[in-house]
Amino acid sequence: MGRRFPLSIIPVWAFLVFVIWYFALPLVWMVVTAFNPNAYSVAFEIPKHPSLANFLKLAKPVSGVVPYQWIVNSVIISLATAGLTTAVSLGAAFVLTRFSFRGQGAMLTAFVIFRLLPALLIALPLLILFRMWGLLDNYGALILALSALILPFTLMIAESYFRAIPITYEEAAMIDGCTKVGAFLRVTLPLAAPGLATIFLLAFVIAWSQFVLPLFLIRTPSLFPASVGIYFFYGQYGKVDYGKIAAFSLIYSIPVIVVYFVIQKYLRKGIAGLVAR
Amino acid sequence: MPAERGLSIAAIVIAIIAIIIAGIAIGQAMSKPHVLTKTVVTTVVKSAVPVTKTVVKTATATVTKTATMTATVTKTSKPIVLTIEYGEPWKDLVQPAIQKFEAWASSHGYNVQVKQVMLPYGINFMQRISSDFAAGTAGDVVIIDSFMIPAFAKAGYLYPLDNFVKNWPDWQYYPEPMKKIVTWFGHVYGIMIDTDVRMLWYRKDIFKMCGLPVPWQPKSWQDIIKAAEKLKSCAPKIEKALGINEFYPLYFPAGTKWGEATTMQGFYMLLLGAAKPPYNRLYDYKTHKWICKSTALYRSFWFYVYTYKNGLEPVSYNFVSNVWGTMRKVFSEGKVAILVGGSWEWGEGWGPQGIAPLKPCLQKCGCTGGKCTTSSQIQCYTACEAQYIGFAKMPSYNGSRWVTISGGWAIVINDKLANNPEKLQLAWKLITFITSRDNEAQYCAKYGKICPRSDCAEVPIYAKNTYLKEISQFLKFTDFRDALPGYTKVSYAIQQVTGMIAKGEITNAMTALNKYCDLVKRYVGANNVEVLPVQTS
Amino acid sequence: MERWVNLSGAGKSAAPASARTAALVEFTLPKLLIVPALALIGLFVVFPLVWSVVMSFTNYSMLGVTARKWGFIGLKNYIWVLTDPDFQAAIANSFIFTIVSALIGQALLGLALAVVMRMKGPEGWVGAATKVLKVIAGALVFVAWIIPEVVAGYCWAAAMSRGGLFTAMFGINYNFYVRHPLQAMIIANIWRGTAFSMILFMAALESIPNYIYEAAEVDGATPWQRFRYVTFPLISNALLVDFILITVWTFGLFTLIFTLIGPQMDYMWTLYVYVLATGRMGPPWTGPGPLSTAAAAADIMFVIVLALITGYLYALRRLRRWA
Repeated sequence: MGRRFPLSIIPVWAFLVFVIWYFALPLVWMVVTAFNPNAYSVAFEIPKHPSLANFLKLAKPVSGVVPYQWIVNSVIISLATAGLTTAVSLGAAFVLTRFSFRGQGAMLTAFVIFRLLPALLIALPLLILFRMWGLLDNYGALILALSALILPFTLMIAESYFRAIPITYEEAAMIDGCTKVGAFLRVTLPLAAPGLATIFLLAFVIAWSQFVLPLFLIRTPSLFPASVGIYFFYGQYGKVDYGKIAAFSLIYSIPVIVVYFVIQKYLRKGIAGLVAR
Repeated sequence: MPAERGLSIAAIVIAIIAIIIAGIAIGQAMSKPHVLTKTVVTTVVKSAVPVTKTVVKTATATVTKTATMTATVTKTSKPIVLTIEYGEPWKDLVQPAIQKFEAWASSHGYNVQVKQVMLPYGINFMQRISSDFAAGTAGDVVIIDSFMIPAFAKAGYLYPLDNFVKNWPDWQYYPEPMKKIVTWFGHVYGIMIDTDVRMLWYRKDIFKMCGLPVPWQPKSWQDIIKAAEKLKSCAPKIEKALGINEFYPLYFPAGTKWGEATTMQGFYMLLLGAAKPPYNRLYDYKTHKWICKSTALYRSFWFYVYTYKNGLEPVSYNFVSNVWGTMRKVFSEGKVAILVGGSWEWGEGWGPQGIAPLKPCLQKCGCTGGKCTTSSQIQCYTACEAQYIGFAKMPSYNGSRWVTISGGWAIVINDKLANNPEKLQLAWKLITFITSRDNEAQYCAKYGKICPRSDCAEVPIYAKNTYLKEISQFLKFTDFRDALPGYTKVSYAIQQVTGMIAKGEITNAMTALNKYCDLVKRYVGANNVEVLPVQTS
Repeated sequence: MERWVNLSGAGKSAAPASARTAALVEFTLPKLLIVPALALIGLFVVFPLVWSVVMSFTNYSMLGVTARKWGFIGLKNYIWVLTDPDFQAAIANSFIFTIVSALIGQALLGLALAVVMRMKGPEGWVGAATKVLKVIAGALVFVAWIIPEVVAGYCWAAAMSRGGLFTAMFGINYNFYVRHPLQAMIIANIWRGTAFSMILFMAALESIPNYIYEAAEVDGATPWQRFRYVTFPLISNALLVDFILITVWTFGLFTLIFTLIGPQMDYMWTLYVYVLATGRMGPPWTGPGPLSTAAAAADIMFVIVLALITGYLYALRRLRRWA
């Protein structure tokens, strides 16, 4: 009823539309091409007969490996890595928050630096070491290396989580006759359960997305995780079926997107914590 | 409450250890390589086994050793395990021969197990085999890329076969180039099992469209450039007729993305014809130095600069993620009219079941799903393919001779058998089964590869293939790479410089030559190179 | 926390043996729970870093003779790498890439997005439409940040090829990432990393109480003055934290660039190290795949990365002391 259209909103809209265009652009290619059964070039085209054919084609072997095998490999590697890192960071965070000892501060600073180190700087010497130890193509070794790479992240999160839980609850439990570890397990751990779940999920998706370490340390196509599998797809000598690659990328991305949206609230809180400190 | 205390600590510690162990266990279980192991144990029937005549005959030099071998065979009941390591593409060459070898072994009373380590498709075979050799875990008999022979021989990985081939009647059937490839400083280290040649592929339909003669055989580099320039002037017509949005007359691979193919497929085809031997190479065998500058190098770079600078060659095909697939596809679509490529492309690239078959032929022969399957379809397609695609010999710079270059894979014996004469004899026997005339002819005919033995032509199945027969003629004038240790680095310098030329970062042949020389000096050391006089006319 | 220490201290001095054992079990053994973490980090992070320095003084290689027989050769690898024009170009390009894509691109776009996201829209359908746009934009920015880097790299490669969505829109009829790799890297990395800056700045802006703005408004400050004298000083801490993290992340980026422009060694130091380690070239004294030379290059970069991190941490401490 006579309310004037606020002209000042136009630049805001223009900006938001630009952002949407820019950020949707590459994703559109993946989503559309995944359903295009005849995508034999990188060029973008809208399929005339969209179908799920690409997803079925992924069950057929490429150079002797069924692409879905790479997803299975990724699941194995990521689950083991997430389990290991969660357990290890739980123990370490318990010690770091419930005891004080000499060198604690230095240790925390070291973890901050490790968290910021480019993965490549560690991947290269690991390639040398694993080659010398004969551990290339070994999942156990890869999982341990991945865990070590992710540990500084999860450890810092676990540490801040436990620090936020007041120690007085544990003290009360100890007065009631619990041991220190017992009090921690019975009182603090249940309180921290959602935090632990977050750490597990975060470790899972970081391991799931990791590319550099498996690229350096895994050599046999049937052992690749999905990330290196996609790279392998592109490096093929013959005909590249872009529809298949897009479909595979889509499947590969979905778990990550789901997990991040689940833990989104926590993540924002964590980033906000960076500002407050 | 100590019990509870201990329990909780133990629980955490056990959990961590369990996860670590589980991880390692899963790793171990999952990381078993694709090993196809087939064992045949032949029980010794005869108590004293005489050494067979063939073995004695083939290795007179080691007769004394074979005598001890007889003794060992009679004594031990444990079977001798002979490992053969090879890539999946050679499955049909190796496996039938192993069967025959086993039959032979059991009839001669040897207790032998042949263990096969087959590397599946998709692995970089040479990288894997190289690291196996470096780690000391390579098989007893291994199939390797022939250009690695010098490097492996120098590293002491290979057992010299001189004494074996000296008394091997079949050795005479290998043409001189095929013997040279496997020879390093006077010693033979392997036997070629397949080979290939390179040539100029061209599109007959496009040539006709532009009024160029078919069949086409350029006599000199100028002929190639002239044809390419004429094709370029016809580009709009060709693009319209074929319904394509880009057209390039010529394609010589360039850049690091192509890897070794840039050097072998593109650069060597020019270099070998760019001057008179021995100045048409990368290495000077007299002075034992890499050639940093020479007229031949200058002319080869000039060809790249001229064709890329004038838009006769496609730039971006050299930098896409799958250069091989793109090259085959664009030629099949008619986006490139002349291509320097390998003899295998006839089948592997544009054949009825190739990677990029010709669309008009697929339609004409009623092939669906991008492949011809029935034998009548394949026959129809092959006839159609010859209508569209032709090949020509690569001429030298001034047209005085023809040029081609061969690679291929060879079978070698691991040097770790040197102290085990018994196994050595058996390994050689296995090689003679694999490289026998009939076995080779069968395999090469099936895969459209060139048989390195000249007597393959006597086998009907091989002789029947007119294409193979025709390109086997190329073997007479073929050449091979200067595959000395350090070659890969020099090759990389060529890839870098041609890549810069393709991108337009270098627009002058002299600049290219200087850049190449700088890089080679950095890679092999300044005192390992020599500068020859350069004629720039 | 002090309390636990005191408790354990009290047990130590005059207690009988059984009590001492109890204290050991109670307070010392649990501390061992940190051992797995230290072992993992020590074995798979610290030791490799040290080993990389050791190996950089040798002629060890992936293949060839020096794969089996290698020895120490002094500083040769470092000299070779430092005099390599490709390495110099790689370092220069890495810095350009980091400054343009992270410090300018991501931080500015992130700040702009955060400000827009926090803006109160008008009422009615206009406001509703703005809100929808905001939600879509926010979700897309977030997805760009979390999808696996390999996928992001290849999606951009597809968008920037001939006939891709990006090239088509600008009428480019060649592979953009082939002809302009640095520009392609920058566009892809701004896309990839803006979400972090956005979320960080949104959190920072939320932490500013509204009454400060109200007070500024009462004093008659223009929007620019409000930003300059109220918002900016209050988020400068966040700005610095953001700069530290995005600089270090961008500087160490490998996967996104590797999948986008392929193994081109003169555009990014990470690619240089990779190509050297797996490639076929290298100095005369090593075989193919000169891991030792690559280690030398990596160690030089390790020093630069460490300098970046400590420099920023120092700046952050200074800033906090000021505030």
